[in-house]
Amino acid sequence: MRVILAGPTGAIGRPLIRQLKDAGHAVFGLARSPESARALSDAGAGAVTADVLNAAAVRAAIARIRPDAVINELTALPAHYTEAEMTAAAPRDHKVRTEGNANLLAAISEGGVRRYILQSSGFWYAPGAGLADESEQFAFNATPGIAAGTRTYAELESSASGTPGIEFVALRYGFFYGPGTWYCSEGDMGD
Amino acid sequence: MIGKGEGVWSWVHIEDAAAATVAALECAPGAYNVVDSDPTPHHICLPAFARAVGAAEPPRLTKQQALDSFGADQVYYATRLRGASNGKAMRELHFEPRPLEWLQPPRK
Repeated sequence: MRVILAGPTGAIGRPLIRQLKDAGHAVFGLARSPESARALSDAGAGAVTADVLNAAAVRAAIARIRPDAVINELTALPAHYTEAEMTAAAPRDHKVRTEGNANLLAAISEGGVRRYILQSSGFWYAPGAGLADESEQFAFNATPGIAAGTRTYAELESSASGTPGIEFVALRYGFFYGPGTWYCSEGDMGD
Repeated sequence: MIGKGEGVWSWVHIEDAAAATVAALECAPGAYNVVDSDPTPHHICLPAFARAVGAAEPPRLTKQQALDSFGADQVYYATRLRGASNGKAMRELHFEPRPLEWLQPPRK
């Protein structure tokens, strides 16, 4: 398949590009800067220059590549996990996720892309007995920062599932750990 | 460590998350929990992580101390978080997450 990856330089980008290529897919990363584009070439992916906040650029990128699927791993989380950096990053993180999602969905609809895969959360389910399955609600009544995050994920999923004509998959990941994440010996929590 | 640390954390190794994402190109549409098979209370995974990276045993705080120093979200993470089940991903994405690497040996 031809696959566009939005958010290709984040923690999951590098392993995801490698595994997509190993599975025989052609991978194109959306790159905001020439540096990102070079990093993508080094990783063996194609690069399409487009800022996800620019709807016209996203539309043009999708029209040019004509992917079978778009994978959205967009975040603007800080490299360093501190309360101050998380607070400072939150507005941009919300903007990149919500506007990026909207711009991708508009371009996908217009471009006839079949499948849309979105990063969501598997660690913010509402309190309850035992483990939560996919039918349960997010913790909308949690503490303010977490509740805001749950509303964002719910909005993203709801916009995507309300987009006609696409196959939508929400991947509700647990906390990432391992190389390139906050949780490894070289990462911020390890430090 | 905050309070009793009874919040349950669902983790996923970044390589396992990537594998599930590749599989999601060809699955039935819908939502999938891409989490490990053994969500872990914070009072277990936090000290295990500290040991795995060679750090000291994490200091212990009461909920009130943590609330004052780190805010309500951090207290929620440590004491209220709920784990997720990965049965659907295992069945439909053929997801095979590794046990949390810091737990030696794995709890189950």
